[in-house]
Amino acid sequence: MTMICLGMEGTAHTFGVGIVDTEGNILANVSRTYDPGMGGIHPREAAQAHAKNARAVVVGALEEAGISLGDVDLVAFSQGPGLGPCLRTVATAARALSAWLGVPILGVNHCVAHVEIGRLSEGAEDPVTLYVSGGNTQVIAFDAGRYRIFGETLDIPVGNCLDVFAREVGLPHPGGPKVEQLARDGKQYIELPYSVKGMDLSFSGLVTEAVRKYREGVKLEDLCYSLQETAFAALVEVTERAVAHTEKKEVMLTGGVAANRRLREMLGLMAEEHGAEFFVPPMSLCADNGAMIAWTGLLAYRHGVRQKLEETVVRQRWRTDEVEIPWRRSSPCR
Amino acid sequence: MTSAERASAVLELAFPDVRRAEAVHKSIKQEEVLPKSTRCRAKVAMRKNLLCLEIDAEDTVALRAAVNSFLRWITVARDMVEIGSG
Repeated sequence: MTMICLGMEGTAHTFGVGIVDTEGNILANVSRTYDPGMGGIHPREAAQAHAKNARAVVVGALEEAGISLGDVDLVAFSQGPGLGPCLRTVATAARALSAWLGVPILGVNHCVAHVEIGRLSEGAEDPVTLYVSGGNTQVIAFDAGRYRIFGETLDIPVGNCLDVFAREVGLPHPGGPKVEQLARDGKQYIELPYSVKGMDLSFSGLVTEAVRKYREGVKLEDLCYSLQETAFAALVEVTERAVAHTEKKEVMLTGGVAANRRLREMLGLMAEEHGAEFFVPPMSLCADNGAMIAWTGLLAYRHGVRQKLEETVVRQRWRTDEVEIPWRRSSPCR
Repeated sequence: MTSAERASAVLELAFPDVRRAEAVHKSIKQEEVLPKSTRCRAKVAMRKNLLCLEIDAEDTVALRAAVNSFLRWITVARDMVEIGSG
């Protein structure tokens, strides 16, 4: 029997609602993003924006899907990891819908959802995934019943590194696209700290040094170019080692930073050299979105995962590798 | 009252019917457990169509923050229920 799941995403600055069925059809994927203007995301203000937008986004998603709330069989929500005030607002909205409709509720791990929606949209079976955003930087691959983190940032995520640099040099939020644009006019590579520690990465020293060099008068275009080349080379190195170790034949790039053309080019070249297929989902599914939560909720529910209401308390630091993935135990595909 | 003094608040919110109050109650009950850093204790209860919220805080700053958070959650829960009830 076909089930319909309404998924709510709200771990950071985006509140999204996706409606997906068990056949993997994305019936709706609607979102609104809190824009802080200058500066970074203020968690409480982002949560306030989510609360304000929730009704319009849910109604918009129902209209896009052409269904009524009574057609929904399951409510899924992003239970973590993320910003506490945002998570709690979305969890409350999801509980209210579930309680009113009398349908089950399921909390979903945001990072796992990024991988699963990519597998669905791109038809990837078993990829090594580089997940890069303003809140997370992880190299993820499936092994022995869970998504394992093969490498991750030890301090700030790469998206945050780009955003902080942009903010410090006076570029508006989100800084990533502006840094990318300026980097295209960069001519000279400026040496910056390259930190790969084992399989993990560090970006805080990199951003500090890049800002210091800017204040010394180094040309902004050259710094943007050098910042990207240094950070992305580190990401590609760690992903490449995960590919070599796991011998997987697929590489996937996801998260908000997947929008960056240079990163796509570098990771694609590495995949090609390893004879691996390279996937990048459309940006509507790379960025935070409700469809990924709905789809992952459906996968979990159909494989026996259930939650009582008291188990829906948010988990701000919920790691990718803490989640059992029963839908991938028996088969490498979905 | 200075911010160093303990502060508490009791809110009673009336919903059009018991079913709506119950859905909102279920949605915010799990948020009773506040992080230690909020310096607050909260209790959520329901009496017929009334949603009752009691917050006991170490100071007025903490009280204001907790009341604002709960009102935000109650508002979003009410909005969801209103979509459902057409």
